Amino acid sequence: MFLITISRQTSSLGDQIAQELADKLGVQLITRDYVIEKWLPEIADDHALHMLKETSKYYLKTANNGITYKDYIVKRLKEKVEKESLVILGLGSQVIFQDYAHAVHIKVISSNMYRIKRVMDKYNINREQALRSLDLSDRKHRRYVYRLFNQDWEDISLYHLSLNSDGLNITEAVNSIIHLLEMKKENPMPLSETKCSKNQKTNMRENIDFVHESEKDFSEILDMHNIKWEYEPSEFPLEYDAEGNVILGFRPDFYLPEFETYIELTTMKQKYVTEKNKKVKLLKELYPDISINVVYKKDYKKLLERFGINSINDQGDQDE
Amino acid sequence: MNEKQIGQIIYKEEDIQKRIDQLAKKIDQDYIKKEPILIGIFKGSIYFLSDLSRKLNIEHNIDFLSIGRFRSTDGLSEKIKITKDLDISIRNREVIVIEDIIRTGLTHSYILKNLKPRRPNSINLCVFLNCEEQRLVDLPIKYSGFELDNRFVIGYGLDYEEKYRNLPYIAEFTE
Repeated sequence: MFLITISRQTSSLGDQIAQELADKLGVQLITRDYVIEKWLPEIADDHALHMLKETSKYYLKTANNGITYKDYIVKRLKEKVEKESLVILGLGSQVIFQDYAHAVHIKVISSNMYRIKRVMDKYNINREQALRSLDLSDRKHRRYVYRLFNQDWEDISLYHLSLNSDGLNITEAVNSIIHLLEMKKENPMPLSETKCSKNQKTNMRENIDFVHESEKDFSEILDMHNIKWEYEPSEFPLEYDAEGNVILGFRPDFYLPEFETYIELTTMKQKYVTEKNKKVKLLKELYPDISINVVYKKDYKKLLERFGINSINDQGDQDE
Repeated sequence: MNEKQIGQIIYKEEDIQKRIDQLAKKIDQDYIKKEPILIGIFKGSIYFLSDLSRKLNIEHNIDFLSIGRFRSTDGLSEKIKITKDLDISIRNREVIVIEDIIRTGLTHSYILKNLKPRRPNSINLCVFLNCEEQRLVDLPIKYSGFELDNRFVIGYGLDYEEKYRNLPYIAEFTE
């Protein structure tokens, strides 16, 4: 099951690429025309259909079923994507499905020179008219995505891949997209998460003051497996004095939100391990719903060896 | 074969086969008329998968996944990735992931994260050796052959530098 969204500049060959891609993959192509012809008549009368063809503002109006035309389209698209693989052309689909792990988002562009020539040939108009037509059409696309989804259509971070059709024919463009799709099948991940991981993960490690190098290495292993983590996010009070002040607390090294589990590394001298074991035991008694796993030095060394990370400099000398 | 590296036998061939008989019976009961897909994780699971599969009476399919490491695009870190994907679609199917050994569970959490969006009806894990005491993350292990402590073992699919996988028993590895 996959989804390819294609966003395109007018006369960039995006329409033809989307059609050939759908044909080659044997899946349906969903376009604005399809939506207007097949879906919107279910909730829109003739006047509304006319307005929807004319202005993007009308998509935010409430239809006779009580939801906006925009929300209705989003709902129908999501339902269809649940059931089958698709290629979607336009419709803000790159935004609607930015969190969808099995989507590949493509933008097709072309230089003004080529686009103007294509429009002139197609409509038999002069250069000036072609330029004006392109300008209006591009503005319409941009306004649609901005009005409905508050996103800049030209923001390249909305797409996995931008193709310039000046230097590619339709078959080459289609094959490039299929190749990307094959790669993404192996490692499905929403684009929004990828963006987050780029900004976060590399920077995260650099910006965090890990108490020990071993913790930094462990964060690397977690990133390697695409496991979300937080470093020392919470401290659990373990003992209080007579006035209710916390006199003993425990802050586990990592929290893995997807597993609701804390991880504590113990790669230091045995005397500290004993102390830490006591804290873990106390934590389990006081907070029975908290899941915590302890990684001991020997196991940790093996773990690093297995993943080819060798910076554990026999940190038997590490103290905490 | 360097016999010095083969230490004490932990699970003999007949113990292994007896245990797989039991697992197969249990899976037969649980998956009756469900035609599950057994997904073996290369390379360690091949012996376990082939023995288990031959002992099952229910209809089932077999497929394989292989996991490898590669340098990420930023060049700074390494990532786990699937190097051999499934040939069969698992959508709306019952999936049993077959593995030789599970220690921390990190790699298997990655595998599950990868398989779940393909929308199978269910995914369960069947592991030959389960090292519960090293587990860092919870996994849906439904079938477990034997419990193992943190010893390094070889045989029955488990290797040391790609050797000893073909031993019909599980032995401790000695350096």
